[in-house]
Amino acid sequence: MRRYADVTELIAEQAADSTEQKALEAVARRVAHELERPVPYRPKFKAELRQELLRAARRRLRPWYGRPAVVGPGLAAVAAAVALAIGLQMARPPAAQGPEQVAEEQPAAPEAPAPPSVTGDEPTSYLVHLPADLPEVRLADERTRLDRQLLAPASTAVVGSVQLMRLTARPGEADFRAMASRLGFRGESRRTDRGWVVADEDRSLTMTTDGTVQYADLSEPDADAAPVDAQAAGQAAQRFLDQAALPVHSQPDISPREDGFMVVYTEHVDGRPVVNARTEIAVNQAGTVVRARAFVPSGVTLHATYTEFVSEQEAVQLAAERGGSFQGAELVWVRSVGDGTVYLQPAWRVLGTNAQGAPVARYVGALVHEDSSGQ
Amino acid sequence: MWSEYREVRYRREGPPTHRPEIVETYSDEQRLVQRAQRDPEAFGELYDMHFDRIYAYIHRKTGDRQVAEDLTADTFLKALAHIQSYRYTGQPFAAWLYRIAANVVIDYYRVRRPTVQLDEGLSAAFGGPEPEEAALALDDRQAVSLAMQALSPDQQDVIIMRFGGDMKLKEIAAALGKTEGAVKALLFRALGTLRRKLSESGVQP
Repeated sequence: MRRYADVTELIAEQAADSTEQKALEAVARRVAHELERPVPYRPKFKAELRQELLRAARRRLRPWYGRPAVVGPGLAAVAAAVALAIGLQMARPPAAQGPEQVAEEQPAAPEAPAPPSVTGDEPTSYLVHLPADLPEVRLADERTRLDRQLLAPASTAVVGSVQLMRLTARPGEADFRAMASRLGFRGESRRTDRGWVVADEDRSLTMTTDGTVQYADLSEPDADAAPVDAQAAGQAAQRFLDQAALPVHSQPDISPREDGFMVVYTEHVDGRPVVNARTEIAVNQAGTVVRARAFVPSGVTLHATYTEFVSEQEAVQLAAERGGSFQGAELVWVRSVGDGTVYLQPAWRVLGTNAQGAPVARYVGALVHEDSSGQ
Repeated sequence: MWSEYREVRYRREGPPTHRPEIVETYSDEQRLVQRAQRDPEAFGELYDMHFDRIYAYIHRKTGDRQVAEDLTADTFLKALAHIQSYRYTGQPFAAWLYRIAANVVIDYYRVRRPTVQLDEGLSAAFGGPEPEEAALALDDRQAVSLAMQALSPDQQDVIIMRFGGDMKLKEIAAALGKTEGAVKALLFRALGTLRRKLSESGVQP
């Protein structure tokens, strides 16, 4: 127990008598004996995670490597880590195991078709299965102008792979209470079927377990207050977000309304918008936030790269199968809620006309489970 | 060359942080961490030094290999993402990593109830005994894992970090964001609970 002298000392200090002291020391020895045993791990996992961390580190710590684009080594770099993390099998056979390593033998993974080469000499990591709880992209058609510019810069052609981000955005009641407290709610919160709600005389705040936050203030506006301009409305929205600890990382789009302004923040990932997770804040003419819809910030935890995905051409065909005529598509991000995880998944925003001839943007998931894609 | 030597030594003697001469001073580790803030290879060395203990900690907390791999990857990705903001506070780098890992585990359980009972998880995480010891060790091991189940998450953290991670009490305090006194109280209560539970299982400590 010399190694655990501090534990022995603690026991000696706090034990009621020598009997207890001896008994607790024996317990400590037994637990130490059990916990000192190494925990087996898969050498393949350790080696691949190291490799992918190094790749990620090279990009992160040496800026001249450049930010990863939607396609290329940047995404491949984190793919294996995600493959391991999500528990999916990768195509390579297990690495050789050193004689002294604490490791378990693993059966070889089933053979998978080789992916197309995306990045020169770099080994390409790829996934061949999607998370089981990845929801299907189901967004309604969006009315648009046929000649409308694509939303994303689309400077990077999607050639070899697309990326999925797995987020952790499932808030708990503690998160809700903290937010309510920051926004000055004093009443008791209560559980609802989908989350939590708190209300005072004129205001209410709800949060659902998928991370959606909605706020409303129905109090009468101050009739004597001088009307605010767009800039002041933007500042009021920003103050609200700061107070609620809902960070946004994009510039707001502020548009006038009959009763004030609507401030909209569209999150972007790799320069492409998340089309269904816009933060919307209505500010009245007195500069008070009267309504807000936002999402609990989600730390991006894992990325995955998929080389088997719906191509732009296939997306156009899939869109047309639902009626109408479509010409081209751009890749955007969609926030979607799985059983236990919130995802950011890529989707094609396909431009064309619907069956009635109206110009629309139709959304087609870029990552589709094999059985639902018909492949 | 150095890297090969380090790897051989690592395999033979265990993680460097478990070796007394390195536990005594963190100056080498600090230099390595500073280098890791700009040198990917140095980050790889940190990973080599700490993978075992972080993986073991997470595996013992979750009891599921897939989840342990998931959360271990998550922990090191977060560490990489925040390595630039790491500042030496007198505690070893492992304390910082453990803190990330502990938060990752908390986040995991916040969104997803454990599907593996802790006793199963702890049993699985205790590793495999030598064949000749198996029959005898199984009972003891099960008894210890069952007893561990009776501990609060904080008590489990302290026990696992102290005995499984070879962390000092002050370092555990830093990792868990608690005072050293609080960690001592947790440890003492945990040992008391373990004593009672082991006794109930008919195991003489």
